Amino acid sequence: MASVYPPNQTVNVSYTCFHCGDTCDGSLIHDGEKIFCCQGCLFVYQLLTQKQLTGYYHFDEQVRVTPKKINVTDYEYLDIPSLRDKIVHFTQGGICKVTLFLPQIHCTACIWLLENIHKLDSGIIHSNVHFLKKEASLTFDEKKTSLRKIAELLSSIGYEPNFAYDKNKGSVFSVVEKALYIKLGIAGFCFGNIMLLSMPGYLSTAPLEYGFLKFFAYLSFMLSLPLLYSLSDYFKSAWVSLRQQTINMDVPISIGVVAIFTRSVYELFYQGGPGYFDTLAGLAFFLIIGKIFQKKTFYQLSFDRDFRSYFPIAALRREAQCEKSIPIEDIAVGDCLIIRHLELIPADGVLRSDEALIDYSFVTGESQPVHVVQGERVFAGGKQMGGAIDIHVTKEVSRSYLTELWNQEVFKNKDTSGLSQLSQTIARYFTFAILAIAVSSLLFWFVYDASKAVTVFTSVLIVACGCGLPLSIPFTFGTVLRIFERHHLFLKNDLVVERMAGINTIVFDKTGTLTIPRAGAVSYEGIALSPEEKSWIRALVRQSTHPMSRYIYESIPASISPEVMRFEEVPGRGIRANIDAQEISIGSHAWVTGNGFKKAPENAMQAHFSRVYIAINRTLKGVYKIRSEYREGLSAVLSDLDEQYALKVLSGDHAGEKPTLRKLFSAKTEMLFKQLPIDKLNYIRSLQENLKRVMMIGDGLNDAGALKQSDVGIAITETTSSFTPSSDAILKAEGFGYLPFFIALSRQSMNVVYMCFTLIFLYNVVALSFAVYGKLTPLVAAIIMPVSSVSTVLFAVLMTTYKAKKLGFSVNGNTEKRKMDI
Amino acid sequence: MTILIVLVITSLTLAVGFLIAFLWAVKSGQFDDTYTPSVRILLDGKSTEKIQNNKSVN
Repeated sequence: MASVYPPNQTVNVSYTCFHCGDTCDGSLIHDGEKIFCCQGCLFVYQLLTQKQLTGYYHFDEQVRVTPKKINVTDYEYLDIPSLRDKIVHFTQGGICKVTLFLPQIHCTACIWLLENIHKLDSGIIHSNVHFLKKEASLTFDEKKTSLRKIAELLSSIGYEPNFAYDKNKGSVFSVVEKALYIKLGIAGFCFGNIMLLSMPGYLSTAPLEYGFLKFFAYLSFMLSLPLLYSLSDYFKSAWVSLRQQTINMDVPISIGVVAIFTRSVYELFYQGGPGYFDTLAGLAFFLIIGKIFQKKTFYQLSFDRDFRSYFPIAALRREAQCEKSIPIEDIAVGDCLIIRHLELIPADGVLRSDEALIDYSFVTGESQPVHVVQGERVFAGGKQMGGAIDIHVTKEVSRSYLTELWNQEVFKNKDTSGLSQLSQTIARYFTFAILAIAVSSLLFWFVYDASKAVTVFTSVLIVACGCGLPLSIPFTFGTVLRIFERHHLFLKNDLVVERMAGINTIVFDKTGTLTIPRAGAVSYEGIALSPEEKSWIRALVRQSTHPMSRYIYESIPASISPEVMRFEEVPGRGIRANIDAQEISIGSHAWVTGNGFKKAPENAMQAHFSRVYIAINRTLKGVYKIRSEYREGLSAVLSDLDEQYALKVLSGDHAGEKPTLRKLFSAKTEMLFKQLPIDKLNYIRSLQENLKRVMMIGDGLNDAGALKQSDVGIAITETTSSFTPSSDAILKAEGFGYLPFFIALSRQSMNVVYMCFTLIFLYNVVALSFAVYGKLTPLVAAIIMPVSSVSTVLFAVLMTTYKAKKLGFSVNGNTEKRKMDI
Repeated sequence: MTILIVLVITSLTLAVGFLIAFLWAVKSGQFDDTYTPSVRILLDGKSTEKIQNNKSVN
């Protein structure tokens, strides 16, 4: 069975773990011929072998998920009935259904393993994976297993369920989409049949066939009734907007539809004419196609998150004799909470343990952890690094420093109108113009030939409600959305394009936006280190969770690690241990040399380097300099943007990087440091009060307020599976270089929309002249309507694609590949 | 020519049948996930041999 490889092995060969595919560094674990990097991987392998699930290893995937070490109490909170009921969405007779979000799902093997999960836990009856949503729907028998056991099992094989994600995602969307598909089906069915039935009427009016035509017209009338149902959204929206005394695009559409329908019914029953049911059907069908085109959802991405999505759903409370999991809503002032390694602090409090090292990068963007001693305040959103600590809660979760940000106005005013500013303006003018033309021609004909007056009046309303107008915006912006998506920018909806076109100020966050998070450029200065010494340093820094240690660890090539003895870590100072009978110390200058008086000579200009000193047997060897690294292509992007937009930098960090930033940005760029989340929000607000249209680009939770307040908030992320704050758009890091082009294309697309409007205007001049002269026959209407709609849509799509090509976007991407990427 | 009426009614009945089939498909969730089933059909629970031959999707 498993045996630990001799630790003094010095062969420099890299092994890959049979289970997770990672390069093995520490001690290797053997099982037969297979090598594993850790006990976790070995455990999963043995479990899968035992249950005959080795098929998992037959997929030629390079990267599998690395299992996570779980504590006994990690999922204890799932046994709390109130929390369990929130997660489980169906229970009957002990049979429960639950949908879990598993962000680690990434390949075919994942689907296979998760759908065979019942072999690992006999209580699970059925499991079904939704790959794009990264969700697994499980049905389980509560008599045999529990939600907690399932969560523990999934975590132990590497799929850690994410319970904190927003629950209203997904289900609501699919209900809306389903309704739209149903409406499309109905409209398509009616459209096809009505067109077929109307065809004979276009071709001949011979009296012999009159009976048939009449029969067909009645059938068309019956088929048009479900059409009215499929257009119900438009009537509702128009009604709502009229009651709010505004006019949106749905108002002229609804007026037109009502005009067509009543006129047709009147003609059919009182005059025996065929009516305009064909026109109505065409209109409905095109409108719903436009709506479907507009509805584009990125399953994995969530644009509206609040702090609850980030925070754990339960915390561990220390009680008289024991520890108890409680839901975070139940945390009360005065509670004593236990925060373990890498856990988030859910509420503001005071530290009760001796000391703690808290990483506030999530909140402030400051990448270096803060050293806190007993009695000092700790804030919600901080992450404990190192051992477990006790905190004494001083504020409720909802009143904590970070969560108060969410009580700001910006988070309450949710943009629910979902209407484009442009289309609303156009709709207003358009509606009034049409009504004016209709009424004046009514009056004219009333004087001239009263019998034709009503006919002309309705004719004007019928032709004018051409669906080209409401279609041109979704199709233009929808095309832009798809092109952006291919270049790693995901917009919340198509309306963001319009707002993006209007911006004139761009605000950047520094940490994580301009710099690459978690990747410092490490350089070494001093006496050259031998490979052996390097392997000692690597082994030592591996023991520490400090980010600086991680940077150094990553900068030294892998080798077999020597054994680390008598490891010692003093937060804020350094680490020390004995390796191969040598004493290695790493940390501040005073720490490694052992004298606290002499401060290392530091050049003021280089203060933005973080320095980590190395000493072996108390002799100073050299220093690792760690500098946060700027994004690739940053200077090109900035110089492009600087010509047209006012650029600003907001940073939660200290001003250490200012000289470097000065070189990247032009002299007129405003830079503010040590900004709290609320300062960032207020800064954006003050820009807007000066009539600036602001685009904010940020990454952390600390930018959440500013992102929400800005006209266009873009959250930048390295991987789309990681959490991003609430925003209008999510930009994957690869797409950063395209930033100037994204804005340029959104501006161009506005021009395309205006061109479409011109085109529609010309069509309307032709159609209206027929209508005003009282010459609109059903045939003319049936020809003009689809021709104008289809040509407008085609024009919008082709023109946008052409503009994008001219800007240098590739417009034909591999769809399948993209699906897997996001 | 009156046969046309029969034909039209027949064709409409057929079309309504297809419409109902479509509505049922949407309501029963067949359009909810258009990706995973395409992968799942290539997986075989019993024989690991077959899986080995499958092309990876990544």
